Amino acid sequence: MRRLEAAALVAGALVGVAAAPRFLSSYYVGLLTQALIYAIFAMSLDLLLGYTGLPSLGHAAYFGMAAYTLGLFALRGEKNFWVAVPWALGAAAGAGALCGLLAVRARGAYFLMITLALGQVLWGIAFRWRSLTGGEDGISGIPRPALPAGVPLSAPAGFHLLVLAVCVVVALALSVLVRSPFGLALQGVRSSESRMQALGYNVWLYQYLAFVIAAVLAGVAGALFAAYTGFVSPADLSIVTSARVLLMVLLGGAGTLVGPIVGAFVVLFLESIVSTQLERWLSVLGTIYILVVVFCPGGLVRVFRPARARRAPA
Amino acid sequence: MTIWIIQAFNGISLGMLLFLLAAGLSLIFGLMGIVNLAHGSFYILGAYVAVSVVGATGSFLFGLAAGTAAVAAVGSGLHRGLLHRFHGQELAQVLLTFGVLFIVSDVALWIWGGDPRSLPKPAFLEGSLRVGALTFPTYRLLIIAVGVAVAGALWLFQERTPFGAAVRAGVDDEEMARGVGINTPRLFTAVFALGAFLAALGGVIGGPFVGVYPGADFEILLLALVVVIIGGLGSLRGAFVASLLVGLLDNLGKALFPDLALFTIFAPMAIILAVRPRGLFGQA
Amino acid sequence: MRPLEVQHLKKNFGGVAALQDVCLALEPGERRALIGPNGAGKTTLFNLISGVLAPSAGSIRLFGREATGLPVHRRAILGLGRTYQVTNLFPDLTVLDNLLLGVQAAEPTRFSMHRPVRTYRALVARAEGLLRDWGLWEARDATVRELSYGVQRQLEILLALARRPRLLLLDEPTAGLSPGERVTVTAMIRRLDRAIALLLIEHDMDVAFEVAATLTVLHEGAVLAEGEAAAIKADPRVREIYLGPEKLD
Repeated sequence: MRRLEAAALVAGALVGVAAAPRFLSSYYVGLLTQALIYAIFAMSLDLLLGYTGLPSLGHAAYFGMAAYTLGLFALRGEKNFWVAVPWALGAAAGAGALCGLLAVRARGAYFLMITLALGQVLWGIAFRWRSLTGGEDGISGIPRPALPAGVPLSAPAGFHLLVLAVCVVVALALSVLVRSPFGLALQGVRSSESRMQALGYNVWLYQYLAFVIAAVLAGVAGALFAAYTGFVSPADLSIVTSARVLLMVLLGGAGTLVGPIVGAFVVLFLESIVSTQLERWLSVLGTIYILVVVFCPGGLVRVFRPARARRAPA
Repeated sequence: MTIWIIQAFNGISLGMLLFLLAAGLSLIFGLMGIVNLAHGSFYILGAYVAVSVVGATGSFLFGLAAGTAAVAAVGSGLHRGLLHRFHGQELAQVLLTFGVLFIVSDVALWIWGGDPRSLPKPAFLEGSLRVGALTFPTYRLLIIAVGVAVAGALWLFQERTPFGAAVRAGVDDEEMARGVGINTPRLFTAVFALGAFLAALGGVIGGPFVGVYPGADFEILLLALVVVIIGGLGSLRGAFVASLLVGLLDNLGKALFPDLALFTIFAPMAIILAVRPRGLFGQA
Repeated sequence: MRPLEVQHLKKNFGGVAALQDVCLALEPGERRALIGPNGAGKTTLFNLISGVLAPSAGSIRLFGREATGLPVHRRAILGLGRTYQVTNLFPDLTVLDNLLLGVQAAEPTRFSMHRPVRTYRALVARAEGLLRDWGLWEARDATVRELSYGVQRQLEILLALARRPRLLLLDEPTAGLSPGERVTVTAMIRRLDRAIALLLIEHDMDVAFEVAATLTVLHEGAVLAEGEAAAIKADPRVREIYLGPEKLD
């Protein structure tokens, strides 16, 4: 679709989403808020998978690290969201920096397995280290950011707007990043590591930086999610969470940034419909995986775009 | 002192169980380039089918036969019907097996419920062997025996049989292998089914020892992945050595630091990755 | 300073000696063709020089610097460029983006994350200049996938050129081209800046003799003969193992 039409659509969507608390029930507003949070999460994974070509099966690790950091601050009685947030992002960055060192040196299949294993290890630690993390019970009482005084909005509406604002900022920042020289280099790395090496690029460094940036952004989403639900549990680090965000990227369309946003909304709404009717959401998740790979590997966004953008991740 | 020996023994038996899974994973990857995440599914399906069959017939052997046969069939169908269509597309294949992992996990939960199920040991394997001051449960001895036997059989198979030669040829150069008349699609499906069979075998004989419960598939998958990462994808020798290592460490970890159990497998994995990213015996 | 000095290079794969005691040196601006029958070790030599493979013995010096242990990208930074026998471009990116990757590769801005690459006027101008100079301007917005094979082979060379190499390894640049396309690519190679030393693997003898003043003949992993074109053509050993009974002129 043409530029002007696309811009109008986006503007309309933004206004609609922002105004949602006015005309939708709190259940649907909550879904929208979650979709926006997951959109951030999915975009972060797209940077890694769609643009750099690194398929991480354990991206929830960084989402969860940030969430747990907020949880730990809440346990110590910290009421101010903004005090805990830099630490949360730091934790995500730290975990990303460490795991990146282990995973990025590895060739394709190993990278996959290592990210999966690392995610599972972190989940296992959260699950078993009851004295620190509360184990399966998780940690509750995570505070939301307080609204500035005098703002005429209800708390959920205020939080919703904050999430929307962060989502927009992240989307804009990433869209500049992927068009920047660094972003172009990432795409080169995805396309042909060997050629990039031969051109003098330190491929490892690019992959590593992408990994850490993706981890930090996943941490942003994780912090917002913990504040949204007020609660964190090992599920936030689990393979299911990693699988869901990966599906959002694939279903929406990897390597497009818009795709993950669409994917986040579609998967969340599907989830909310399916899990109220059936208990078998995981079967549906698995089935959608298979359906996407077989019928729609480029994702939904590519189905609706003209030929130019028909490139599925390699 | 006795405690350490018993712990080591338990660790070795866990290691042999892991070997059954890691060997299949390694074989499948070595030949087809597929990282088969559904391996956990094969494990748990084998166990659950055995639970039902043993419950119905009272015979462990029937359970064993049924569990392994059913899963081998499922694996065969999965490969021929779905995975092989994406031959060469590594990411697509992994994602497909990822989907299968979730579907099977959920279906198993639906059919067999959320409570742990018991898979009783065959009567003739109850009891233990006394060596001096030590008692070794007979069943765990069996697990070790099976693991070693399978390792030996796989090695013989790979090195000494025409089928094994075909597999090695396929790993080396698929096009050439096809060129000399080896029916590679059928070979691939056969090896995939073999991997599935081994995983199910692990599930059935591991059942009385480790338990059969929802989530076991993900847990064993994690351990198998760590084994393969440490040992090196595609290497049977690596799978054997690393299985023993991980089995011993996991056991030790659970005994010494129950809170930090996973650290004891995470640390060696991290060290190996730092020093040799392809694993101890990984393919170049 | 010689762009390339290979000393006593050996490479074994398991029990097979792919290269045995190869010595080769290029003078600045030299145009050398590397010829020899299939399996003689030519691409292996390229892989060793560019750093994709490590030698079993021997040394490689690039521009006077010891390069034997250096990773691939460091050799490129020293001034080595390379093209591939099997086209190795960025298939999902446009022709212009492909070249931008080559052009920005030597610049510190290649880590810049805060501005779109198209806003770096100097880089874009250089990439566009390359396209115009070498006749690919029309194709600038096409994705590589959409290009004909012949144009891809041209881009293959242009991409290596974008980084301003001082030594260029061309691996069978005319492989699979039609006669007309071969003429275009050969002309392109001949037009390359005389300051760049070229080492080119070619199976097409006409191209090899047209482009290179000197040739090295590789046979079964060893240098069989080396010298000026006329001498090589006349060398009976060379004729025997490679040129066979066919007459060359």
